[in-house]
Amino acid sequence: MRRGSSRMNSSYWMGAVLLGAVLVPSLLAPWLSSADPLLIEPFSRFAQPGPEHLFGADALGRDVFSRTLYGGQTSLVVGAVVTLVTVALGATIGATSGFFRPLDAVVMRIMDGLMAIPGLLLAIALAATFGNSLMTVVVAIATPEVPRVVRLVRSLVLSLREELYVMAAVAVATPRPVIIKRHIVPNALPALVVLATYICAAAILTEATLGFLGVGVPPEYPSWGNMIAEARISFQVAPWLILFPSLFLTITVLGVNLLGDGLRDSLDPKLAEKI
Amino acid sequence: MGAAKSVATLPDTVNKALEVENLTVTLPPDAERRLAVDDVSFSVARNEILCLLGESGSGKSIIALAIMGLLPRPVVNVRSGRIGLNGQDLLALSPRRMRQMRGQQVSMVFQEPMTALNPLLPVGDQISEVLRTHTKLRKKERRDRVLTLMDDMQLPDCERLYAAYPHQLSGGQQQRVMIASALALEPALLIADEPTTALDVTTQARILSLIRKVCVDYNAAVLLITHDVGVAAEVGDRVAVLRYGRVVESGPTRSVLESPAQDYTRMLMASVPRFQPRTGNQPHHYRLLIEARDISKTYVGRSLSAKGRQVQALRDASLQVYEGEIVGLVGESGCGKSTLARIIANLEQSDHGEIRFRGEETKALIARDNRAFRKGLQIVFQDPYRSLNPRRSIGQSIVEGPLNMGVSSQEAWEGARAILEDVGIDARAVTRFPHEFSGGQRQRICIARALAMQPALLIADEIVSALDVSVQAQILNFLREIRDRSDLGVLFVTHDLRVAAEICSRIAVMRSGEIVEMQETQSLFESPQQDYTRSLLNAVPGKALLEGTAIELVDQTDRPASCAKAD
Repeated sequence: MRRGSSRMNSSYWMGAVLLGAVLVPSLLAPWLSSADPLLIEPFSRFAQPGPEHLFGADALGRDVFSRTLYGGQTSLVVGAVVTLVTVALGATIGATSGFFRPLDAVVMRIMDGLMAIPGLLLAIALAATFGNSLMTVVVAIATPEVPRVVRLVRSLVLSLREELYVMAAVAVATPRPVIIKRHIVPNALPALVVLATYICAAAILTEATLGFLGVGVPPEYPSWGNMIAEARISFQVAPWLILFPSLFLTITVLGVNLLGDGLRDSLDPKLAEKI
Repeated sequence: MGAAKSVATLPDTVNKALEVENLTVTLPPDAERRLAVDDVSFSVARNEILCLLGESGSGKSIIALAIMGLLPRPVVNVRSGRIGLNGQDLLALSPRRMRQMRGQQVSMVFQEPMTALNPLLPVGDQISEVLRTHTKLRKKERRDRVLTLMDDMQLPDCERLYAAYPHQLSGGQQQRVMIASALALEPALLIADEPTTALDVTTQARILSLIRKVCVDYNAAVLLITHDVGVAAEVGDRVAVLRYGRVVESGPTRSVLESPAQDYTRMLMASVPRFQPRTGNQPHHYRLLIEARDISKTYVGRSLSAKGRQVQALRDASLQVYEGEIVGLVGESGCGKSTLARIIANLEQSDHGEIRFRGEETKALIARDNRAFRKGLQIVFQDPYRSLNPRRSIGQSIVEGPLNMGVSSQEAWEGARAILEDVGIDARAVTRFPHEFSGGQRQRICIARALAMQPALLIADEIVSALDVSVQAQILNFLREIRDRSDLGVLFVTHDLRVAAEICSRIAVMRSGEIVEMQETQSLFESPQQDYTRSLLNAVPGKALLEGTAIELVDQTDRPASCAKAD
């Protein structure tokens, strides 16, 4: 047990530190970086990393340090919003489906349908129809993720309501809403939190992919995806341009995933007992 | 059987197949105790069955694994000692040599035959596998050998069963297949680890007599590991009683179990339910509490094929429980006894039939006043590990019901502390969580939760089945006490007739969803009306020994103390 919790902590803390290393500078971007991420300075084109431009400057002479930090804001906002929307929608639909069996078959078939929509194509279609915006990015990423949450929550509800302690609560006349609040939600939450971290990591990656393909947030706003796409072209001239956004992206996704693993180990008492 | 036994008990000291000398096995440093097995010595001759008898955590399975060379190293290690098999020291063998020994010289049968068999292979091929690995027999010869083995295991229609898959066999047949493959190479030593614990009592009796028989037929030494005194009494030539990794007492089964020399063995024997109806179980009140009439229930399985498989779980089952009595509902697994219990508790719905609680139809009562019904009727389940919400303190679990009934918070918590003391758990533990307690303690907490409602009827669904015999005895005593000091009626669901005989005034015997017989305990034991009841009675292991002797009870006052440690 003791050994288990220390291992849990190491992955949990490592994740938290990595995520914090990206999150804090991104949030403090306006104070950390004096340069305007959108300002075009032709004389600084492909400037090498140095005191002037910490991470160098890109093909239009924009400050990469500043763009990376602001790009982090985009990534983290997309990750957070997608996670919140997906979990809120998915948990509601999944719980309804698990508790009200008549609805179940219909709801689950709709979810199967949603799962069949490829996120990238949806993003391209939405961008073509409504133009690029944060909204289209969030909708495109969240749509195929919602069914995953629905499936998890539904199966949790189905198994938890058969638990003997739930039956025991029924047997002492605990009203149904209280049973849900007291016995089902707390025992379903850990798995949901862990899934949420994985969805967050996936959303950040997908956002970068969309940016790379040019169907993410509007191209003038910095995002790690569109920065990588632009840097790709000038890779031979200025290889550091592709390095920094990629590095930040990797650290963020790794951090979120480690945090998820740590949470899973600490929140799941069955797993903790086994270790 | 008596005759076979007396022949087999002839001391065959010349031909000791297994000799374990001063075996000591260490546990990891953070374990409850330092040594899993502490200086244990015993021997088994060919044609002899030695039973290692012990409660959970006594180290009996570790000994088996040590002999097999299957200890989970490096977590658990043999520190010292010698394990001799036909004069060869198994501990000194190389891993490769040990692999050859397993199967050829030592083999093992486990508790759950279903999990030990590969679900994707026909059972005949699985037995044949052993022969293919260890012998040079040709395919045809292997098949003939397997068929002979299966026939020896008294499996029916061997040609057909050869090609059957594990799930198509009953639990007893699966265990026979396991024994067949363990004996395929005619090993010197067969280790059987709780081989009948997962089986019904009638199946258990047949498997035990099979083990007896093959022990002689195959000239093997058998080491049988069990927690059940009855099983040891039934098949053991000799018995070694284990506790905390030490041999407390050993010797010929009869002398050890009939006149135990050690306090622990005496306590163990006193805890074993006598196979005799106890007196003093007659109800002292005669008001009808609950009456179930003609309850039927059919489960319709949902499957991919259009028509679902139907299972009739209950057929016109009827029973009554009066105030102040404990009624047993006895049957083998899958007979529908738990379904009936849950239907009576309104946790499942019947297809038809009527249940009256204190004269009022329960459906109507629930519609009128659910809380009154729930307050009057409580249920405790078999599995104490799943019955408590792991995220709530045991106090929170206990006060939940009383709070629902409108009892004030302060009163409910005081009540929870009092009831915990009643079931033998320190009241200060109310703020602790379920994982901090052992299985026996958890079950007592579950009982406390039910009793905190001060119910008129308690449904006890296999509440002692998962517990060690000493803990089981405490809980039965406690139920008896409660019944005597209040008018509590109990519906006691169990698969174990011995336990039912201990505390029930009347017993209903159930088979395939029907109650085949319901009688006062005494007359049920003396003159069972149904063949099925008779076969259940006859199948109880160790019957002869347990019936024939009246073991002197140790002083009742020192029992809880000595049991508490084992708990």
